[in-house]
Amino acid sequence: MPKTTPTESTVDLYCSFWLGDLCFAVPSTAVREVHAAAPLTPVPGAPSAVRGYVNLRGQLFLVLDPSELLLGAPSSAGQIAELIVFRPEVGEAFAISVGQVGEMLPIAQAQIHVPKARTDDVDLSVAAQRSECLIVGHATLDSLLVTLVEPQRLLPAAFADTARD
Amino acid sequence: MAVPQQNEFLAEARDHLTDVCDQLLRLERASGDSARGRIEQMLRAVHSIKGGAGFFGLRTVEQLAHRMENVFEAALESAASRDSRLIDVLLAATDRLAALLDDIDNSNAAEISGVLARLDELLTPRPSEVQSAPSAELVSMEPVSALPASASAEPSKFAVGPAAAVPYYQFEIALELGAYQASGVTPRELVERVTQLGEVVAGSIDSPEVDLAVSPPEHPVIWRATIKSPLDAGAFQTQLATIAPVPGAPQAAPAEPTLADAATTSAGRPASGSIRISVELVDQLMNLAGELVLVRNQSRRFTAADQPLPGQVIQRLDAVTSEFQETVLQTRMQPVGNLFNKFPRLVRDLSRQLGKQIELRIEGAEIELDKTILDALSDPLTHLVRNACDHGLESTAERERGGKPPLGILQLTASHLGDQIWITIQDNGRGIDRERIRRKALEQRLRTPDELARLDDRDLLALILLPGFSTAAQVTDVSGRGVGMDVVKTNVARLGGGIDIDSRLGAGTTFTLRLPLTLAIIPTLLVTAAGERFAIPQKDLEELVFVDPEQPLVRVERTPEGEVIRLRGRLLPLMRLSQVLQSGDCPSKRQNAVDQPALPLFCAVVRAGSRRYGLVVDSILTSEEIVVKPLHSCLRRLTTYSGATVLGDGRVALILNTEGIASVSRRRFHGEADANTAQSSGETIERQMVLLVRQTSGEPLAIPLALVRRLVMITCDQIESLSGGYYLTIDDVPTRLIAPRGEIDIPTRAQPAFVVLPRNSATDVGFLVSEIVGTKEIALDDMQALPGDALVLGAAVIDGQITPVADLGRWVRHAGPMPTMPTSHGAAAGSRVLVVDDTQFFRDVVARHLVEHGYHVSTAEQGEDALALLAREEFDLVVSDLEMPVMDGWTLATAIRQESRTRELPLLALSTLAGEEAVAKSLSHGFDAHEVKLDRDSLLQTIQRLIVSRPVRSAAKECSGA
Repeated sequence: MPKTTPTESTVDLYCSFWLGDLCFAVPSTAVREVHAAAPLTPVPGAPSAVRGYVNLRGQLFLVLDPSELLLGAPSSAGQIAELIVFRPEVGEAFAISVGQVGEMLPIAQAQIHVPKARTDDVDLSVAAQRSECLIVGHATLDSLLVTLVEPQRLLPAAFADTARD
Repeated sequence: MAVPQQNEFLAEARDHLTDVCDQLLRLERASGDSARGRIEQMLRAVHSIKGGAGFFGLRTVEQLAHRMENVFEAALESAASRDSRLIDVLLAATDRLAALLDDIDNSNAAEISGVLARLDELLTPRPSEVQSAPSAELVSMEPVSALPASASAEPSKFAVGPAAAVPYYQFEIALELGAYQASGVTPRELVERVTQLGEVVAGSIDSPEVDLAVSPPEHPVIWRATIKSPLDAGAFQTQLATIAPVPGAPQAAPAEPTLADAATTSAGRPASGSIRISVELVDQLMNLAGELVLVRNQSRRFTAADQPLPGQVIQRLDAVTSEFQETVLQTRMQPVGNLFNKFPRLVRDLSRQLGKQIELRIEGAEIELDKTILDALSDPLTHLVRNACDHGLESTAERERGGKPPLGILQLTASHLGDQIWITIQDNGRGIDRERIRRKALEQRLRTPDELARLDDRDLLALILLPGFSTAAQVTDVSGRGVGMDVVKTNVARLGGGIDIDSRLGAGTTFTLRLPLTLAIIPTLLVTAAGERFAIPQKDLEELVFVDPEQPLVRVERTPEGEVIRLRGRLLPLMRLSQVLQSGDCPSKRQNAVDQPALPLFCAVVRAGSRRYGLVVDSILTSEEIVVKPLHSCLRRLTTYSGATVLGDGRVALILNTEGIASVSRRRFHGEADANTAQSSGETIERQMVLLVRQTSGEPLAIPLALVRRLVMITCDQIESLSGGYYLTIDDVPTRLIAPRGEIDIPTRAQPAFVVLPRNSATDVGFLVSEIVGTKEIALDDMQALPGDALVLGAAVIDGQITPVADLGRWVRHAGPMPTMPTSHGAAAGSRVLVVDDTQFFRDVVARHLVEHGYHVSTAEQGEDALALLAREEFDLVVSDLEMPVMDGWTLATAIRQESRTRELPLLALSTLAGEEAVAKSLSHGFDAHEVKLDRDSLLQTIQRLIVSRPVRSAAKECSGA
């Protein structure tokens, strides 16, 4: 999320991407680059949200599956068209693989609806808990509902099950 | 979190502090201009730290640096103040400053009043040493065997005398109270220092009569005390003399650590010729170099062979790229002196703590090593140095008693040898006591007496690297818990290196660490599994095996724990890489019996520390040198990988960690048995000694040595021809000479020859051979049957030549009158015998012998199969091999004896193991007799005896109520 103190009139730029027909977005300040899909090397034994390693100009990045993290269902290989590579401050050398990178969306604070913290005792599945942890709000644009994702939580969420072992 | 510029300041400050520490240690021995120069250098270093700290608002760091600056300035003015106390306080201040730098974010809140007070004390003017007498003098010190009569303590409370576990010392110290006023060191402080050496059990003070309110006494106050101290006499006296020096005697100055001139600072190079560069930047350069290589490879593909000009450009690009990559690799190399630099301080502190005189010498500090290896070596080397100081080097008193110079030497040396770097840690101490190692190994059940007897010196010394092994008489704060040496070994092995130990009792010990120069580029073997490529480091790879069902030397077999591969008589657990990576463990036989890939298959025999196993892969690609990239920090929990790399096509491949694979497989591994001896029940190596001879026809022949009673050297004129046969008188016994195929070829009378007298032959016969070549140990598994030749046990390839192995029993029957023995086995004929042997060859041979004599024979390959047969069928005797996989013969015998149904069943052990011990072991496990392979006649006699002498089963059942 943007580091400046948000006000009602603050407008920040978000990098959007599509998972199926759902639109998600991350702050553009967190994105290092958008890259065309590159050959992936799977890592047997890694959590299911880890698609594998990719080599981008000699540097290795761990590629996560946002569909697994946000929707609880893995994306198929054919759905990967682009990689969103994050800056080092967001997390160590990682990217997410998406079907399509959308437009850069200016979103004002006033357009963001932040869900309230849970006070009930609903027993959520691990996947649901993970998804809720990653989603920090929804933005209502003209004809579009955009789900806002906190990119700094993506890596910990992907390895959360292993941390509990 | 520190900002980038602050990081640079911190790195520079740490370098300065390392330099200050180094200079302080040298200052202890320096004098005159040399000392002055060092103090000025330290002053500049601390001044830089102060300035930088002030710039970044690090107030505490700035304050401490400022006080240190003041002390250095004072030391410049007064040479008299440059004593051990100054060095100690400044070293302590340096440590405190380093601690502040390590936690820079909280440094401003840190408490430093204690170290500031100590620095301020140094600045308090003291009278010159020339003008004032020492404030405390040690008058006398001696060990005592009993408490003095004047002691106020109750004697019954203490154990005194030579048998006391902790010694007592009586000393007398003269205290100049007047001098204390000037020096600032109080008598109380002196007493506190003395009590740190032990427990003062009795004491008295003699003081002149004077009014202390008016003035201190003119004459010294005498403090007499008896102290109970764990230190030996030499160490105690040294420590006491440090507190209260003996007048006129030179103080035991700490040995000056010696450093090679080339490595004077942590930077290791003259300041003007170097720049500071971050490790991340170096890694980026490495990545770019790798990318450049890929671009070069791609350029090659798009350049046609018939275009010379582009080809020349590509060649030049090739050369520049390789050189660029090599040069970037060099940036990772650092002088080993960066690592050695911390040991002078460590040795100094240890020598004072232990009360020993130790001099550290360093050579080869300029040798360069990969930064990763340097970082990983710090802990192992520290442990070895501490061990050498604590246990290797003796106390001063002990060295003098042994006629050695009081100064102990510890030598650290780095040198190049081929593509390795060798680091040696050598001391001239007491050496390693082999007997003590043996005792400890037995006490801790690490080895049996037999195993210890078979170890050579190198392997015996290597026992100290085992976990928990320590020959230290007592655990000290420094070392002796037995948890360090195995960690040293593990850490060095992880780097692809090894440790050698050499020691001479009374003379010293040398540890040699052998390490690769760099870990950044390693040779590997590329393999595929589950559709992906993986790299196996060559250092872990022993051999590649192609497992083909038509190749009997290498077999895949199944056990309840999983698959094993039988390779040259040894068993190795077998793991299928694709399954291990997916499931994290090795599937058992039952779980995956259906979906195992069919033979043939590719197997890489790998080593993981002391463990060996076979790793089945889908295919083997090529050997390649790769650049190692560390795993993502989130993936480091996956111990099956040690890193990643980028291959020539730009794709990533994972580097396998053979140790990690071994751990996640949860398989049990066999020990590191010598390939030539069968030591554990898991090993199935069966070997037999054979006598190699040349027959009179010139053909080679091997005779099982166990069947040979005696060799007699003769001359052929002793041979007599009689009634169509040839005879020789040996020990007044006419002995008939025979040959395997009836025709005996007598050498010319002038030639010497030999007669082989067989064991357990009922007739006096001997085999004439022309030459005794020697003896050889052959693997029984390697012996092959010779179809059509019933007179030999089989044939083996010995020294490159196919050599028949004699069946002496058959020779005797074939060559002459039958020996006097039962023509049939009477009551035993028709009996049912179960033969258990994992070697098909011997199952066949023994079965054949028994069938010929009228027995009904069943066979089993393994102990488990034998038990299953015994549960279903009735047998009169079991003949069992001893050394078999999965279930050995001893275990089988025990299991048979535990079953009520088979408790009385005769059991015969048939093995290559011979000797009283082997026989005793067989009998103790329930066997009724023990026969050595393969004396046919003796075997048949024993079988008959056992069957005939067996209690009637029905009577036995009535008695047992079964």
